[in-house]
Formats: sequence, C-alpha cells, structure tokens
Amino acid sequence: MRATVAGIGLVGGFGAGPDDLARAMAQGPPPPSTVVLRTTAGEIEVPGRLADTALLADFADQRALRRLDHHTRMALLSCLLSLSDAGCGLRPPEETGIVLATGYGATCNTFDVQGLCVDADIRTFSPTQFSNSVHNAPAAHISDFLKIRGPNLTVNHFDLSVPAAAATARLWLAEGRTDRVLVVAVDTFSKLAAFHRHRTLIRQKMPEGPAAPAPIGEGAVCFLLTGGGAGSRALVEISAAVSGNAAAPAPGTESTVYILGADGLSSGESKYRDWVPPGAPAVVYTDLYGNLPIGTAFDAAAALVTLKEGKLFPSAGGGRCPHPPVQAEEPLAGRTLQCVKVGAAGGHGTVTVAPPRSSGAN
Amino acid sequence: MRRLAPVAVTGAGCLCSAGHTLDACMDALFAGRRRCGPPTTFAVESPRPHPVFEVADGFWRPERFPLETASRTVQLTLTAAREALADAGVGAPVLEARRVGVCIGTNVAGAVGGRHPETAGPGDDIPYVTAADRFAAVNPTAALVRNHRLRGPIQTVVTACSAGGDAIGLGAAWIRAGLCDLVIAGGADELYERAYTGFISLMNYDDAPCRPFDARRKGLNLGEGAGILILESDEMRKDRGKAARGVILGYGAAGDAYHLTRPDPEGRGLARSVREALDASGLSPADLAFINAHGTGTPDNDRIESRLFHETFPGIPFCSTKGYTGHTLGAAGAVEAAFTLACLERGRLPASMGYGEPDPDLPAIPTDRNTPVTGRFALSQTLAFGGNNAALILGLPGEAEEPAP
Repeated sequence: MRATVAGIGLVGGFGAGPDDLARAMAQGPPPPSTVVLRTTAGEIEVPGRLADTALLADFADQRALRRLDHHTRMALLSCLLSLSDAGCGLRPPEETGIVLATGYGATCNTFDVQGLCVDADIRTFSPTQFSNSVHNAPAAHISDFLKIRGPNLTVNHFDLSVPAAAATARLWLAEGRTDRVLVVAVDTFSKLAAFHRHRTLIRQKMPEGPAAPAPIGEGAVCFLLTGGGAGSRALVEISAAVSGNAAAPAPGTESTVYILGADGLSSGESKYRDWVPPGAPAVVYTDLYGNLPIGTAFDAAAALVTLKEGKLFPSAGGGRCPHPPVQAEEPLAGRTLQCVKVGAAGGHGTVTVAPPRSSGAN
Repeated sequence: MRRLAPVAVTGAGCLCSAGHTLDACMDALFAGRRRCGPPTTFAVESPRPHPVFEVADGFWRPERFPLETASRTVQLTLTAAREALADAGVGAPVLEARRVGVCIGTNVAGAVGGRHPETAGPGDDIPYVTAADRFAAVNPTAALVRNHRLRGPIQTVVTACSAGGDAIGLGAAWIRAGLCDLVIAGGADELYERAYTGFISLMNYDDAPCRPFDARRKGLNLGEGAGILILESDEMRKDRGKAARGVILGYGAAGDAYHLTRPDPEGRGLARSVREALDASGLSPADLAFINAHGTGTPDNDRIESRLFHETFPGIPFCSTKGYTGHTLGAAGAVEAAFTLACLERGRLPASMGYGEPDPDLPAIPTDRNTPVTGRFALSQTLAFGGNNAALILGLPGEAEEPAP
C-alpha cells in the first residue's frame, strides 16, 4: 500500500510552512506566547505555542471566512498551504478525499467547557456555536471551501488520531476509493491541559525552563497523499500503524531514526525507553510545536523536513529522550524516520517516513 | 470504485429504546411499539420538553464485565458488543489470541454528557482530571480494547450521524487488507443535554414523536443506543468452522460540500456514496430487497432521500426505523445496519413508525405496514451533519460464506 506525500502545509507556534519549521529545527523555536487563564482561584499566566492564521488572507477574503472559528481556520490554512506546495491550486479534483484527525475536538469544548469555564452554560450556546462544536465541522468547512466531494472522515482517538488517519488514507488509496487524500490534523490550545501542566510544575516544584514539560501548543498539519503513480510528485513515502495494545510497535531497521512524541507530561512515556533500541538515534521535537494530541503530525512534518534537508537536526525536547539524543546536526545518509507515539490512554501509533522509491514500483 | 471482496459478518448486537437486544428490538419494530417521552437522564427546564428515545433502565450488568465504568456510552457499547461476540461464538481465548481490531463511531463519546463521572458543573471546583484520563474513561473504542485485552488496530470515527456506518465500512477494509482477523465495528452514543439543546436551537427537532417522510413532519427526535457487528476474515471463520450470518458487500462515502448543517438539496453526495457502495458490491439497484433510509423526520433529509429512491430505486421498498429509536447519532449507522441484517433474515420490513400522511412533495413513500421482502441484499444509508454520507450494502451469506466441511 504505497502512499506518497505530494504537498505539505502546516501552522503552529513556530510559524507557518515547512520553511518556518526547518528554521525552528535548526535554530530553536521562538519564545512561547503568554496565555492568561481565568480560574476559580484567580488568573494565572501560562506559556503556549499559539498559531497565527493571518496567512489565510492570501487565499480567501474575510467574508468567506466569517463563520469559521480558529480551529477550522488552522485546519483550512494547512490544507491550502499543502495544495499550494503540491502545485494543485485551490481547486483540487472533486474526488479528493479528506481524513481529519483531532485529539481535543472541534472547539476544544469537549474537554474545556465543563472544566475551567465555570460560567459556561451550554443552554446559551448559539446554533452556530453548537454546529461548530461537532467534531467533523472543520472537515465539512474544508470540503465546502474547496468543493471536494470525495470520502470524508474525521477521526478522534486522542493522541493516536494522526497514525489512525494516515492509515485510513492509505487504505482509501489502496482500495481505489480516491486518487488523493488530504490528511489534516488539527488541535486548538487547551486551557484545561495548560492548567494541568501549571499544576504539575507546582506539584513537582519545577520552574519553567528546558527541563519542564513542553508548553501546550496548537496548530494544524496537512499532507496531500497520493498513490505515487508515475509522474506524480512524491516528496516522501509514508506509512502508519496504530494499535490499542501496550506491546511495542514493530521495530524499525538499523537505518531508522526515531522521532518520539514525548512531551514530558503524558502518562506512559517511560515506554519510549523500552521501545527504542539501545544506541539507536532518537530525537524529540515537541518543544518546537508544543504539547497537543496531534503532535505526531508535526513529528511527521519534521521528518519530511529532515529528508528534504538531508540532515538530522538536534533534539529539542529537553531530557525527554530515553537514550542520549542526537545533539548536533548530522547527515541523514539515507535513513528512514519513524515517528512513535505512546497513547496516554493506552496503545501506540507510528508514522514512518522514507525517501520515495523510483516511480512505477508499487 | 472497483469491486471489492465481501467481508463476513458473524455476529450482531444492538440496544436502543426499542429493546436491549437485537431480537427484542426487532420484536418491537414488527409489533409497532415505540417508547419515547421527555428526557429523564438530564434536567430540562422547558415546560414542554421535546421527546427523546432513551434506553430503558436495567441494561447495564456490571458483573458481566471486567472493566468498571460509569460512562453510559461505554456501558451501551460493551453491552452491544457482548451480544455480538456471543452471537459470533467468540470468547476470551479467541479475542486474546487473534489480531482483533476495534472501530467505533460516536459523536463525542459522552465526553460532554452530564453524567460523566468526573464532570464538574458550573460553580464547582476545577476538576483535576486530565484530558487523556477523561478520554480513557469515556471512549468506547478504548473501553473495548481494555475490557477484552485486544491487540489489533483501533480507530474512533467521529463523523456525526454517519459515524456508525463509516466505522463498519472502515472495519471491513481492515479485514480485506489483512490488518487483522476480526473487527468489532459499530457505533454508540448516549443522550446528552448539549445535543438536545443544540438541535432544538437549530429548529429541526420535532416537539412531537418524529414522523419520518410524513407530510406533517417537523424534525428529528434524539435517541441513544449502540450497534455492533463482528466482521471476520474468511480464514479465521473457516478455521473455527463458523458460518457467516451476513456479509458487507459494499461501502461508499462522500461529502456534500454544501453546508455545515443542511444537506445538499440535490443529494449529490448521497447519490455518490450509494453509487460507490453499489460499484464495490457489484450489484445494481434492482438487486436490492429494500432500503433502510436515514429518515430522520427533518423536511430536508426526507425529501432528498425520497427523490433518490424514486430516481434510482423505483419500486424498491424502504423504511425509516428512527420512528422506533429516535436519531441515535453516532450509533445510527450501526444500529440500522444490524436492523437491516435482521430484516433480511426475516424477509420482512417493519412499517415506518410515525408515517401516515403522504407528502405530495415526496415522490417515493415508505412502508406503512409490515411488508414482506424477497432478496438477499439491502442498502442502509446515513446522512450526517457536515454533509457526510455513508452507504452500506449488506447481504445474506451465499455459498462462499459457508464453513469448509
């Protein structure tokens, strides 16, 4: 089941587009934003890696965007950037499919509204607010904006949503259900997660800094996947697997570099130590984009940047790598990259990114 | 869409307001019984509460499950899955030895349900439950994995009203691709206040029991429930000498690209998904014994489906079962897939509960009485918020689905 990435778009706390991500990988991320949380105990300030969707103005006027909330805007921007990257323009074929992955859901209300928003009253929600809170709202808005009518799926398996979505997209391509799939991942800054991180630092008497868990992030990534037929643009090949079981994922080869989704906060992260073969090169990039369930999408984007640049960038995850991490740039030398995520609620997922094979071989 | 190999269904389980098992549900449907009323699982301030279809008390038997849970969506899921696995003759030794995948469709999996165990209401102290913990507590896929100690692929589909059908279609794809030997596939959703309030605010919720395809219809009623199908590879099925109960022959999915809450009035996405399902199954419209419509009772939905049935399936009987169950959101596609299989087995279709007066704007009308049907194949379709459309072609098994002697 061959699937290749023909284009990529992304937006996050580091900026927008693969070049901004590459810059952050090489030089470190910009300082995080400061977010003020209103709690029953008063206001607190927490760091956040927030995404700016101002680039949408290059693709659409405000009127077309007026009903879209921040969550959908991030997802849409990532799609438009990926289509632009692939040279498709803004009118992809109608048969294009969409698989959207999210961990928190459409407006982040799923976990927030009954948490920190103590004066939220769901009975006062507007119809528009309710409609936009349905998990598949962003995928619906994207398909309407682009006028694409292919298969359309939204997946929420928390922090395993991205490998699940990528695996589904590959299946669609293999079954001939569609020729191209926009695999979109999006999550909005979670005030509840930020509050829990804040409390964790207090409880562990840990100051903000390199040793602290990654700040809470938000953003979106979109990969335009195709079946890799002759003549199609292929940046990288991609495969994915996800399992509910705690057993280790299928190991890579001797030429695998591991990108670990360790954010320093999620449970089960000790498993990375057992799963990465001793001595195997490993990196963590969560500090570049922040702690969010769809982080594996950013790791896959980092893998794509790595392959494109031909060099492995040093780890940016503090001490969260289980073995001594890659600490200086080094040539990639033809290696593949496996993004590994321990599911905080159990299970694991992997997304493997490799150089494209020569055309014609499926 | 090219033709795809059928995937065997070896077990089915279902519970909703019509009954706690699939057989009990079918008895209610053919007896013309429906059970709806004001919500009791959450408080409603309106002096004239809109009706809902709640699952009757007593379905949850905690002593039957290793997993402790206070999440109603998980309870519904585990109960339906237990029935389906028993129907398939699959027990713990098989589940733990084989690659078993789980693919469940749901709306928000009860994460905003007022009865979540750790939910804090307005004015309460800030809850100290992480998002991951809350997900683990209420996600039906994760619950099935933990309860049965499974080790295959997993996915939670959240395509609103088509989630259950999409999950079954995806699970069948896993079997065909050889990713696992068996899939527990379906959908589940509990009733929750947010959806109830939201649909009323959109003004497409009937304040009387819903009337799908009826001239007087004013909208949907919400329900709750779970439907589970056990999908199994031929290799595993023949290994254990198990005949199929049914087959998934085709699945189609397409988007409307029209509006967030209203379906495309031309029904193009629906037509595309149905065509795709037929192409995958190798069947033509005339091969179908009947259609289980989405039939929510909203003016737009029923009009679009009626026109499709008139144009593409002339003379093929169809019914809506939502007059018996309400709209069970993420569970709907799976509950109705189970109903479709059961109706094929019984060779008859129930009357469309709530339908009585023909609408001159609808060119095709549903069954108004229990109706005999002949044939091995049927279509079950769902249309969702956001313009998602899912179509499943189900069938009774043929010779290929018999176990080897």
